[in-house]
Amino acid sequence: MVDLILQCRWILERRAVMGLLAVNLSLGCAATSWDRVAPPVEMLVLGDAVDDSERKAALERGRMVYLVDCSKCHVPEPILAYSVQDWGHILPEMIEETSLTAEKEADLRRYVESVLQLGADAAG
Amino acid sequence: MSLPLFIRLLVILAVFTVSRTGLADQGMWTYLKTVNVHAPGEMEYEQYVTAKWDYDDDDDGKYRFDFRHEFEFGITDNFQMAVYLADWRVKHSDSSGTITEFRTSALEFKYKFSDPVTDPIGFAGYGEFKIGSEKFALEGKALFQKTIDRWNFGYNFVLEAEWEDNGANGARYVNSKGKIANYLGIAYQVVPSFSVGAEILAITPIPDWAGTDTTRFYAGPALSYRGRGWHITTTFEVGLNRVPGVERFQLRTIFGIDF
Repeated sequence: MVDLILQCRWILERRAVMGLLAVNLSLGCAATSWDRVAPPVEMLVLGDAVDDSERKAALERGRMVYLVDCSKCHVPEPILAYSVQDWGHILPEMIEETSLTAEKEADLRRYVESVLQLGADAAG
Repeated sequence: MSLPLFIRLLVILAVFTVSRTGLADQGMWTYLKTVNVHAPGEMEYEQYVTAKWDYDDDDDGKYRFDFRHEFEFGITDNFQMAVYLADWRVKHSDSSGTITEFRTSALEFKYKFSDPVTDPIGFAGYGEFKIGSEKFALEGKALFQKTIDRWNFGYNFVLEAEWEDNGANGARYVNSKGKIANYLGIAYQVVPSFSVGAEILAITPIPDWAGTDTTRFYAGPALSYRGRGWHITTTFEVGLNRVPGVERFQLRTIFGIDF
């Protein structure tokens, strides 16, 4: 027990360790915006005639799947950097390789398709 | 490791082994741990090989290979655990010849508190319990990671307490020592399947918890490639300061396969 107390005291005396942690935390404050990569849901439902909260919630979940689950393996790529045809291959391949639940998969598909539609509307 | 314990580990593996495909984790570095965890039900096997050479204290032709066989399991959206079936090594010196040693088996736990993409900073807590016939160790890590565009920045703070060597009259783990380590990493994703980066390590041994030995600094490049259902990551670390009895070069490769 005395050993343990001595060890804890030894650690606490090393304040430099805490300094390093503080530097790292400040780095995290420089948060980036991922809106360019995965447009926020507000952009996707802007033209909706009726307030469809269920659709908004599903799109929000889909966006989080895109940003959180997909980034477990790679940095999220801008959705609109790839064509509809590209996504026709990418989505099935990625979904096959991940362990997404059926709900997450449906939300992800819905979100990506909505973003692609947004891109098509903007181009057309 | 006793046979019953080994059998128990196999049973645990069998329970958790499910026939699913899954992507490899980010794996941009080999010494730094990333914040992300596997999805529930995902399992991954990782094979570690670490070569260490160029010791400064003699001309005895020393080199060493460390091996680790690790299974990682996703338990919940934020929690994963891992089993190290065996950490073992092959040591060589001209005077002693080549020696193969089993060191430890281990359990590892990681809990993700925040995400490196959607939160200001990603943070996870990590614990590891190692046990072997001549060594028992507890290791805690605070894992930080931030993803900014195609860049990933990582930092690990590591604290390890270790008891090893057996004494007279059956006494076990008679020598206690510690280690503090700070790992910094940066990685750039060239394409989704390939990233380049670097890792910097600062390792400070604490013999007998009475004072610190010379901190060992290493730095070197990291390369990572990810295929469908597998990944490979290699880091080459060069010692920035020479410490007697400590290797100057380390080359670590992790090969992962998903189930």
